[in-house]
Amino acid sequence: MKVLGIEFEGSHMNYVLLESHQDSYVVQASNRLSLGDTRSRDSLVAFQHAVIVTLTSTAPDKIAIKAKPEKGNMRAGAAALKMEGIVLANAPCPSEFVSGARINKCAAADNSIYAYLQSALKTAAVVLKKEHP
Amino acid sequence: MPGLPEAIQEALESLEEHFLNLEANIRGGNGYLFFAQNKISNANVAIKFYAGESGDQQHDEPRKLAAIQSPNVLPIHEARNISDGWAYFITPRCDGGDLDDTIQSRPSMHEAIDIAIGICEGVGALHSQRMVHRDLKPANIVMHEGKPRIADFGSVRAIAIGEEDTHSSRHSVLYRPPESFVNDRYGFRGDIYQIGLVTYQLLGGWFSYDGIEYLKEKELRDLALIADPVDRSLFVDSVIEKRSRSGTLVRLGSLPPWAKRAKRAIRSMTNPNPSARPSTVADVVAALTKLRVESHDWQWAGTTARLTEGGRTLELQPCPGGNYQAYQTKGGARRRLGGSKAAKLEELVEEIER
Repeated sequence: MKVLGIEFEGSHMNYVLLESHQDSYVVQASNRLSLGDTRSRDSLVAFQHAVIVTLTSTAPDKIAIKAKPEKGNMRAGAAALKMEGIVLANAPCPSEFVSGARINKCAAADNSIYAYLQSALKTAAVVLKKEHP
Repeated sequence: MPGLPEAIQEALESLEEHFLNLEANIRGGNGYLFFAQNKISNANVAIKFYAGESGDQQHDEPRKLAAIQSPNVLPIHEARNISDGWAYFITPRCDGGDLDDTIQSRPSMHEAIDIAIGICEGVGALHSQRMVHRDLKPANIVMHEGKPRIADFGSVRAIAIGEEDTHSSRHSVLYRPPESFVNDRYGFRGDIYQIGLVTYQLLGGWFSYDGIEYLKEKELRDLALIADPVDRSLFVDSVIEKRSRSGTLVRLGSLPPWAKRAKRAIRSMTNPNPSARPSTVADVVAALTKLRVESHDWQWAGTTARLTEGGRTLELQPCPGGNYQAYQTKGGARRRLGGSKAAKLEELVEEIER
């Protein structure tokens, strides 16, 4: 099973693709997409195409997204919410939101990927563990 | 059209029952291409006649095109056999010509990146089916409503599960990935090399289709001593191969100054060492989205460099001495940009972007 873990951070979409391997996992892909002007149609369309390429290329069985509040002081920014909408609208598979608390409890880590991708990796690992306990 | 095979002439006569304004297109490299309009739907279509030995692989091109569902891959309406050696398929006619026309029109920085991302979307659909295109170049990419569509599937090959590559294509020596000269093999990263070249062209990098322009003085002198046209052509191809393998086919210094942030991405995609290239098109689009965010949407307007942003238009106009002068138009009023003196284009671009 392949799970694509995603974290929206500022104007970036960080992603890590994990594939279950016996009782562990393997990092199959990782990178980050960037969104520029959140009120420019061209910019949003370009980001959407980039998301489609990423989803086609990684072909996940499930998408795990680090949940961010939509209200309150800790609410996600405009870029994160727009990027999240684009990913959900183009998802070729089921998706699941993972709370920050569950992600913080996850011990998964991989030194071969950048530090800014670790949270996306944990997000994927939480869902992978749930699907393959 | 003189010299047309008899089977195609008969097929065209038959097609005239259903289509108007049949017009030959001489730019197509493989087979024969015609444009026409459907008498009932008024749809503008392209009809491609292709040759092939009867057998399992004769209809590979339309079958592969039909198997790929992507807005960036040309869809197939209909395909028919007309003789043992000839068949045709019908696709929509794309209104924007091919990517060479777009490159000539000098797209803006963001337009160029968006087109490159669109090409990646089409190639990504191919790669997801474990197919490689092997002949990605501007002439094989058509534009429709501002979006690129990969059109020519004559070189597409499947890569078997567990394999990394297939035989390389003999098409277009200029676009051949360097590794294919060495081992005659072509993998997914070969397509990424070609996307890198096309992106470089879209961004305004120098790239000539005339092989002689890649020759240095000594090579030109050597060429002058060769009389046989075939030998001359082989000599030019060998120089292009040398440039390709040494990574000097692409002249990053020729990119306009606003595209300097693209150098790293282009260098990576066109690296002569395939393992140093991005491994997937997903990695290519990640680099392209970063580039899009970091870049301003400059564009050439004749000899003037123009940037429209935040309600104002900046123009860098050439002036005597090879320098440029910056002007700003805001609220209908045009004036020289405050404090700016005539300077080199790259200096002004850097100053404005800062």
